[in-house]
Amino acid sequence: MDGNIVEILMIEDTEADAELAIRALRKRGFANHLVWVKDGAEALEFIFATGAYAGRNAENRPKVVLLDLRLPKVSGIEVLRRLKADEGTKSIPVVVLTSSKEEVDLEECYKLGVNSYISKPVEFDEFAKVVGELGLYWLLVNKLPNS
Amino acid sequence: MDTVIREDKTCALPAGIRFVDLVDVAALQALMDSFHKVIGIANAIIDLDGVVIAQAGWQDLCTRFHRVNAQTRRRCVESDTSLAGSMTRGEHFAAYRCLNGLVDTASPVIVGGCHMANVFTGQFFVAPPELDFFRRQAREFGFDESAYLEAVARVPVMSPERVEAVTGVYAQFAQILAANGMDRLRQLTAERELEEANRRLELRTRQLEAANKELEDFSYSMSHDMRTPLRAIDGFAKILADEHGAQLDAEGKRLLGVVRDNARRMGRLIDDILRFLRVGRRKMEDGVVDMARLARDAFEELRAGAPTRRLRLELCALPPASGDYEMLRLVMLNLLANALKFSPADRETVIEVGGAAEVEQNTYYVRDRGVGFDMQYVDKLFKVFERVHATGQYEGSGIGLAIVKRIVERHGGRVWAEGRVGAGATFHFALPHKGE
Repeated sequence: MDGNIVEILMIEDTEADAELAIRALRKRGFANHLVWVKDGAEALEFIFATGAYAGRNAENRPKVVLLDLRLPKVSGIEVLRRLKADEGTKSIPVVVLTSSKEEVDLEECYKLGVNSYISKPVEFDEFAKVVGELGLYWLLVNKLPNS
Repeated sequence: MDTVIREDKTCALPAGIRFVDLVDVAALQALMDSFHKVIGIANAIIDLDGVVIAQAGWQDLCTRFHRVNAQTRRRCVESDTSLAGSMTRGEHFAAYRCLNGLVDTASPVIVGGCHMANVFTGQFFVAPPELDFFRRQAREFGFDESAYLEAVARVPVMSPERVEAVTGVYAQFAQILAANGMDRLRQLTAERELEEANRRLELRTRQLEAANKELEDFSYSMSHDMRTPLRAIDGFAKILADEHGAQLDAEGKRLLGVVRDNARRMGRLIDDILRFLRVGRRKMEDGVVDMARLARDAFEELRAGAPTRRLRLELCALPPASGDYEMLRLVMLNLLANALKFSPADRETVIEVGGAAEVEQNTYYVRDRGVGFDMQYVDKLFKVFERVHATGQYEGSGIGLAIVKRIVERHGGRVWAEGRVGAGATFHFALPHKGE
């Protein structure tokens, strides 16, 4: 993955969750252009094409960002804030996919302009269904202004 | 009659207690006025720091002359001090001819071994005044001689017998003051101890609340964090079954099924714990809740979730409740779901909901005609994850009634139940009126 064609940016530090989500997306054919980063700092470098991703064209924006909230280095909330505060990236749909059920997180995310907030179901069948459906929605059904 | 030195060493009064704290100053002043009116000589109650608590009938000779001039005033103080000091020798009273030529007597007020104040009477003569002495004083200290001698003439002359009688009255009065002071002191001490006990209790309560909150937070985040590895167990077991199922024999597949079943069961348990904990964490709104409407809505919700069951609600009169609508809805929903769960599926389920308005609270009940329960297990009904019926017999982890209890208790109310095996169960809850 060179990161220049990207449809889904997955920001997830729990490897098992990432693998399960990627499998669920792949089963529906949505994982061909998926980039997976493991912390908030790397996510920001990828999005804004800085640091390790300095060579990437930042104009190639993901069609959807799947964001976990509890992340090492830069938190998910902060990633969301930076993304929605930037004119160039604020239109990228962000789906928070988290194990957090705290209502404060939910409120904070909506204040910051999150597009969807999903609590990961414990049961895999449910989880796979949710992830598959959000892939379908954001990649195929949803229309973005620049596409 | 003013400044005296505190020199009692046996005193063990609580710190900060003053004599003025032990008496009713206004009543004391009225009594001193009466004493003066009847007896005709000056009096005063002065604490050991020199604070005059009550006084009556002081002579002009003292107030307008002796205590105004710096030199004669020094003599007054010296006399008072010497008089008060003489009482530490254990006498009920002491008499003294002051340096300015008048007689004072004093009786100590001793509260709990502490010399706290003196009852003075004085500013009189025991024999007709020697006018030459006072003329000399007038000249010596520059007093207006005729005014000074007129003041001298107004000072009462008392016989030694009368002095003894009057002093005896004040000495007895000092003892009564001391006894009353002791009572008041005990009362004050008891009040202080009570305050201190209350303070400690409040502190302890706050500590316990904090510890409880910490435990709940811990349970909450622990339950939360367990969901992630559990999802992996269930997920990868599923993938193993889907993608490598061909390599497994029937027993292997069965075992994998057991893993998944239990992972899901644990997932439901965790979700139940989280639901239960959230009931305790949520902020409560306060309002008037139409319980009849709430019961009908909850019943419709229940019916929608159980389309295969025949359900009927018998709604009796329900008084409104004061409390949090969302939480009370959870109470009703859980009680109705409980009634449905323990009613046979092969015939119509009738659930009766009713209530009564009482003086201090409103009571509500949900009654079913289901399998009921044995009253000897009634205490287990409302406990987290306690079940009266065996696992597998009825679905659910047994959190519903624990949530009901928690919500009702957060409203200051209580829950109880009655039932009989095979004859249905009735769950009651009482909610206090607002502000109680």
